[in-house]
Amino acid sequence: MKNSLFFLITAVIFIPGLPINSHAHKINVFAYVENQTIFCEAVFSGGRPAQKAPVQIMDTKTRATLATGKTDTNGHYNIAVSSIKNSRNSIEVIVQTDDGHRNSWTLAPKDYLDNTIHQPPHSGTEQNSPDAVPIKNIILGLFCIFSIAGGVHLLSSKKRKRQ
Amino acid sequence: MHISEGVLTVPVLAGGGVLTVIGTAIGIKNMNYEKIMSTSLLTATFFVATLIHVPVGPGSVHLVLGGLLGILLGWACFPAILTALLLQALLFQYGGIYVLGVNTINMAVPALLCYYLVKPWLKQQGKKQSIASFAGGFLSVFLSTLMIATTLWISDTGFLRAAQATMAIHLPMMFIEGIITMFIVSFLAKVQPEFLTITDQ
Repeated sequence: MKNSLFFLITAVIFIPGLPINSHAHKINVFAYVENQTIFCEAVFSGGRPAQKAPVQIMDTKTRATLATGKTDTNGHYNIAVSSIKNSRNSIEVIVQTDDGHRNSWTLAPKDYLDNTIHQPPHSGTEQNSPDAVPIKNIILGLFCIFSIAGGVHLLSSKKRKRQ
Repeated sequence: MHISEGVLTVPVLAGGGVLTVIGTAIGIKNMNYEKIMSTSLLTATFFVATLIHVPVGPGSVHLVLGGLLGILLGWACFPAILTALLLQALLFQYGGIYVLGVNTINMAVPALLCYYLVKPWLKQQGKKQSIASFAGGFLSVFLSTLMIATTLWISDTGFLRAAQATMAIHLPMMFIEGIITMFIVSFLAKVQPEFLTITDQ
């Protein structure tokens, strides 16, 4: 029965095509380049800025740390592109708070080495509103929970009948 | 309360995973399958509780209700919390898959401890039940916060800094959780008292 339970849990939870496109309580990071300056914004879900959160800019290829700093009281951090030491690779702007929240945004070389203002980069880990929590994901999660419970109840009923 | 991916070291993740597997196995063994639907209702409540945010200082915290799960489910809180956290990781990108074991331990172990601490008074009516349920909600968040700080410390993040950060942020949440747990238990005792006997076989 317990083997069936594990199988049932695995089968229900890993339904193909689960939409992974929602945001709940976590830190959201957004970075862009304007006038030879890298701007970073770190915000918790709910819209509150991540104040004095440690920021690290890392070369994605060599994993070398190019710059470090902290966000201000508005959750903003900025640094001149010239301060980043000779990187020609994609860079990752990582914000990690002391209580374990972490997220990052990746900037491609063309995003920060070019002199023009760019659209928000395509390779970031966050998109659109940080507060978006699709109702369908909540419903899907509840459906999974009750499906598992229903399956377990069915299996345990069958076992009791056999006994 | 959830630790994100990429923060903890591999040994910590592995240890958390092993402990979660053990706790979940015990939880499944001790689960009262006749009251599985009540268990699933509590799991669903835990699942959606994270969507309720409370702004605190520079950030915000969310409801956990781990204490409620612990004092009502006992060992069954392990599979319940694991299921809810897994779905949160898959559907909300909250926490992560690799850090699932550690997050489960950080919430389920305090919940279980509260079960053993609070259970004797939970079935009594009146003030003792209210105080016990408040204590369960409060202690669950308090102990979870300590465990998170310990986990971050083991992963070479400064313990004092992590403890201060998490404790400061979650201190108001401890009281809010205690009050909410107290009200929920009082409500259940009046309208659905069988919820208080889920762990009775």
